Amino acid sequence: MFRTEMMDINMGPQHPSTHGVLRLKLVLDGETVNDTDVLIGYLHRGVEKLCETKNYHMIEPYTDRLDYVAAMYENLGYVETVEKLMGITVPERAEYIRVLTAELQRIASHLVWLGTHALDIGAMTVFFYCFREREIILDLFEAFCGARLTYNAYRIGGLPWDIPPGWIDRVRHFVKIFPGRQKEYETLLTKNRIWLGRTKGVGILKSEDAIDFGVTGPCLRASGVDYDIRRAHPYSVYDRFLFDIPTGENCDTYDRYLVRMEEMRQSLRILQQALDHLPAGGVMAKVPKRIKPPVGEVYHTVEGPRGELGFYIVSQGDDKPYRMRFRSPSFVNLQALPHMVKGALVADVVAVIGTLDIVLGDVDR
Amino acid sequence: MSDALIRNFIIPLVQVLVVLGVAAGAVAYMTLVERKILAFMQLRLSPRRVGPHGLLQPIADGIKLLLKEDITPARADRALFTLAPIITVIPAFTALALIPFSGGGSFNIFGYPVSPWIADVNVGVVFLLAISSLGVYGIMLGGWASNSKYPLLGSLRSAAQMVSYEVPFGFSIIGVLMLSGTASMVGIVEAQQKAHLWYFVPQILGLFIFFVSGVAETNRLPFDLPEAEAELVAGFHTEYSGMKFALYMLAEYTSMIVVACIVTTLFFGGWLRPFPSVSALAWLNFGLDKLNPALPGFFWFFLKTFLVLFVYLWLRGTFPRYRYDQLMKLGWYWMIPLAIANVILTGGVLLLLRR
Amino acid sequence: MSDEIKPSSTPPGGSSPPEQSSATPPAPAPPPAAPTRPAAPPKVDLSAVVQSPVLDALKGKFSQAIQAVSYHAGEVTVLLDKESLLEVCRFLKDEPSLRMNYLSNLCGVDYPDREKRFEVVYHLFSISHRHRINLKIRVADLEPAPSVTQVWRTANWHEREAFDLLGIPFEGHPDLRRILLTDEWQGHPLRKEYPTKGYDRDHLKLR
Repeated sequence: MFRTEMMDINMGPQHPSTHGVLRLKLVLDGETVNDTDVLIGYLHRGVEKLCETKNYHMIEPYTDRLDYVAAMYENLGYVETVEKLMGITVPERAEYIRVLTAELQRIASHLVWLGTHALDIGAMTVFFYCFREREIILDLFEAFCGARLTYNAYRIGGLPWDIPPGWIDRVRHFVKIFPGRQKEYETLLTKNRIWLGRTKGVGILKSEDAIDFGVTGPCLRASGVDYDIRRAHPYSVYDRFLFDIPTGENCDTYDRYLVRMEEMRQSLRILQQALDHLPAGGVMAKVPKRIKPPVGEVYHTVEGPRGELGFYIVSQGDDKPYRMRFRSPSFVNLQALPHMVKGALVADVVAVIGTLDIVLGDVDR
Repeated sequence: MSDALIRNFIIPLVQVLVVLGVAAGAVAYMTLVERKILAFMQLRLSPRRVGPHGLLQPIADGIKLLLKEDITPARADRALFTLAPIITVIPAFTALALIPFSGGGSFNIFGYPVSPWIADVNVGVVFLLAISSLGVYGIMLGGWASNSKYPLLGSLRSAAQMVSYEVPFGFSIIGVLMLSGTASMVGIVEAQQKAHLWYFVPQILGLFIFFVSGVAETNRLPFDLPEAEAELVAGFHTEYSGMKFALYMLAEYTSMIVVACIVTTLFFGGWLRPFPSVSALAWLNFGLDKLNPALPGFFWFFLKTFLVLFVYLWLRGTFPRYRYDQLMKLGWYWMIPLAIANVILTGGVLLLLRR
Repeated sequence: MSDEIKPSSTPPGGSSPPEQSSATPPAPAPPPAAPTRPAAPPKVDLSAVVQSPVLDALKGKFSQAIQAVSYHAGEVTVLLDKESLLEVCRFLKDEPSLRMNYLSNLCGVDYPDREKRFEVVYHLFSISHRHRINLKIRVADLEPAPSVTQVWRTANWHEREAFDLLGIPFEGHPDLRRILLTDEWQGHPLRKEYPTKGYDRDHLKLR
């Protein structure tokens, strides 16, 4: 007689489209996903523990290694948290340069997301187009801080150095050419019927679920929630720029795609404004050599490309944090995955992993 | 040696060996061409290290695949595991026997006439369909014999996909058969010559359906679900390595070439040069027909086949992958009704014209 | 001194790692962890009291549950009774004028010198009203903390992580297992007594 049974399948940690070392235990009914167990920790390095033994300056390179696709934001969040903890005011020029590099990083990170997401769904060419433009941004970062991936670009109280000569013109050039390049990706994807079929109605995350799961960033906004920390709790000088917060309606993968594409355009707008109003002056506040924040604790969040990047520092008055906690958006967003793929097909799991835009270094810390 | 023996045995054998050799070479270089074209589309470099412009790359790849350790998983069904790639590769090559690579005359070698095709069967198209649907067994068995989950999923997808697309694949040809009144591949080309019309004009719908189903039959993007890299790791050939893996690749590329050859033959006039009846364009043959009337046919045939293959690669460079259910929906909701409509339409028009 | 929580608790300087003060010869040597200001005087008063509608609402309804309130850099942190945490959380989430529907972060902090060694910290935001508040509870070692997974589903992994790295058990958690470390891991690395290089280094055999 016929007998059917569920099939357990291990997706990862070695799998082409789990973006690193994510492991999913899928319970499949044919090709339909019945249950998902997300197993993480393959990249856990105990950074939080390590931070308790390092002084505040030495921690910044560690933050680079969390979300290595958008390390600028980890730097930014970290130094801002320490500055908030100590009440340091950063020179305006430094704030503007931070905004410039951070928004460039957002575009670069979204380009990596777009490339890999499209690659997962089978559109290989977009990947190479995206990396062409990301290369320009990485070159800019290299000129700014000497590194292309793990920047260690900021210092507590400002920047270690001013921008190199000619850098502004290079950024202006990028801002000029990028919209045309973005059209190229959109030609390949936005109205492509297969792309629409693969992303529309896939991985639906209703707004109340999204908030409940703590999902932030483009994923939350695609669910129709107008929440961007740059607007809700402005940090740095973000309250001075005009930009829109794109939101979605259908809460699906396609909306998340559209939101991120629009975010890149808004980042360009911010870049343009920051370039036009870049003030002169120094880039470093007066900060003691040994950072010893007063006793207290702060929780500071910045809007990273993946969502809310939170830093919780407990200081006991030493030159080392007593407790350091990274609230990484990938970790929290990944929690919604089992909910989003329930009843979907295996191919949709891949699309949803791509659309959540996780970085395993950020998930596992 | 008796004349009959040479005519019936030696000559076909030599023909087969030549076609096999050329096909294997074409497959090898197809991989290089694919990489070159994709690299061009994707703004990156293609293989350039092995030989000038990477021309020796396929040979290096072949040697590598031959020398790789041939792993059989411990829990695999050994016999079937070995047999499966062979089952896939044989029908792929067999189909080449029916392709007329040129026409208009035969070569005279040592006094024996040698035709530029291996066999001209009067049910050629039907035989092609029959043979090409055998390849799926190799894929199914390979996925099942691996005794592993991803290959199993891949082979199940493959079975469903190939069975579904077999139907429009077959139906789309019927229009051509109606127009030409023969099922022989050579006859179809000759009918196109006689009609002064390549069949892609009246059968544009048939061509579309045939090509799309052909892409699906050969598991190429956007229909490469059985080996969908991002989902099923490598699909049915996840557990294969070394030469067995190479055989699967060989079969895939050969089927690609076969489908391109069939498209050329059925819809683009096979070996015919553009406007074969316009004598003012005879210079297009570059005087080759004075050496032998069959010679320019090879050029035109291979050129057209290459252009069809280029479209294959173009698709791969452009499209994302379908999802399994969407693929099925496309096959059953669109392709099959369209193919049947094409048959009815062609038949109706023919009836009206003959009256 | 911003930490005005619970005057009976040990001074925070006492629980800090002991080796740090000896490593600072060039500094004018202020007494360790003394509430003096650092060399660059901050322009803002970090521990200034700020107004918070959330705190006002809490004070109105749960005045007996609030053990202490502290302020730092504009943030309000409320130390709560462990028993009333769930009730407070439900109230904060459901009260229409507050709608603290977004739990941004949940983590544990280890103070081994205290009688109740762990602090569990909740960072709450309201997406519609832009409010924020930090809650805290204290639990002793092995004493279960109430799980807030029924209130916010996002707490699930945060609590698993706190259980994994600090060993705080959460009562009412649907699926309390280790999340970052392997299931057979010994100990909880974020506890202060756990050496940074890890236990049993000596037993590791290099092959």
